Amino acid sequence: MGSIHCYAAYLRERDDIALNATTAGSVNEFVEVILGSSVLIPIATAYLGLAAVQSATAGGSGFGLAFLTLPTLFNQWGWFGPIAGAMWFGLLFFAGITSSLAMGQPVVAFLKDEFAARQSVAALVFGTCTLVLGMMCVILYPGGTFDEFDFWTGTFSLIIFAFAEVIIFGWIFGIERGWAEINKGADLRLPGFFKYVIKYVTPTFIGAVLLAALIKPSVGWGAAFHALTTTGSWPFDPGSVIGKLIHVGTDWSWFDVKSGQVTRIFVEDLTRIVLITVFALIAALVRKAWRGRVITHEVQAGGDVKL
Amino acid sequence: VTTSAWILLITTWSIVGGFSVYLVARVLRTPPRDED
Repeated sequence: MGSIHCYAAYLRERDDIALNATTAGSVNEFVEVILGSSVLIPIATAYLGLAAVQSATAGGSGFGLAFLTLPTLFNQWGWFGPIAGAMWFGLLFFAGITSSLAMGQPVVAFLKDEFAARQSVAALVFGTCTLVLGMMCVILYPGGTFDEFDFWTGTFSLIIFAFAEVIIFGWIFGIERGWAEINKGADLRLPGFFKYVIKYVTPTFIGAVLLAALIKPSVGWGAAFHALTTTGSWPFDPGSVIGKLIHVGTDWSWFDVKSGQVTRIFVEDLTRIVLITVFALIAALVRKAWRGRVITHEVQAGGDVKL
Repeated sequence: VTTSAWILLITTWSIVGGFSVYLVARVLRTPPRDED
């Protein structure tokens, strides 16, 4: 989510945003969702049956489909199986590496611009951090570290930052100023009702999703409110954000009483502490860079201007 | 069921695909900006 702000800095004032952003979003959704599902779901259903596909895609994740279902299919393709597998995972590798590079560029640019690091040093620092965190996912995979990374950074943060961004853009920066920026030099005239979509519909929608994800009950919503009014307690679903945080439905113990070994809960909590530490470190670096910037501007302006 | 599934599939393909192709065509038709 944060990468787009970095790339925005490379735009000139009158560059088009409206047409390019709409095209990128539309083509991406068409290829990813419509073409992807039109190809994958029929193949998978034909080979594995409807029930297997439904369970593989339960929860809305395509992860199982890419890494579990397709290799199962390729196994049944005889001599062509290994070739199809190499092609499939080769494409997936390119999709992953190009996204990683795109996400790495903001970090490298940040280190270069704000801490005067050379390109090679910045790239090495970023690469080392990625390697260490990546190896943590690999080594602690049985303890659920990868799932924790995926959930907190890839799902939860996505909603949080999307919500923050739409509030900042529509309400703090102001939709009128924002609308002027979108249309400045635009090659496509956006219909005016999107103004209201950005200001009211999107925040309401994301806010509702966020709230529902936070407090999703283990029973129906009606039954949950009934439980709240009668017993005074809310039945959190183990998959809800708060349910995950307080490990609903499990004994919250870090060590197994009999064997003395660490439990899955310990690994999950450890991963969360690592993620919070990484976030805090990045926030501290941004703060340091920001303060350094204020001083630089003060010096340049002769101490008159504060940002 | 099969007929309605086909209708649904073709409608989705046409709307989203058609819109995507239209936008790409517009991007390609737009002349590049002056650098200054």
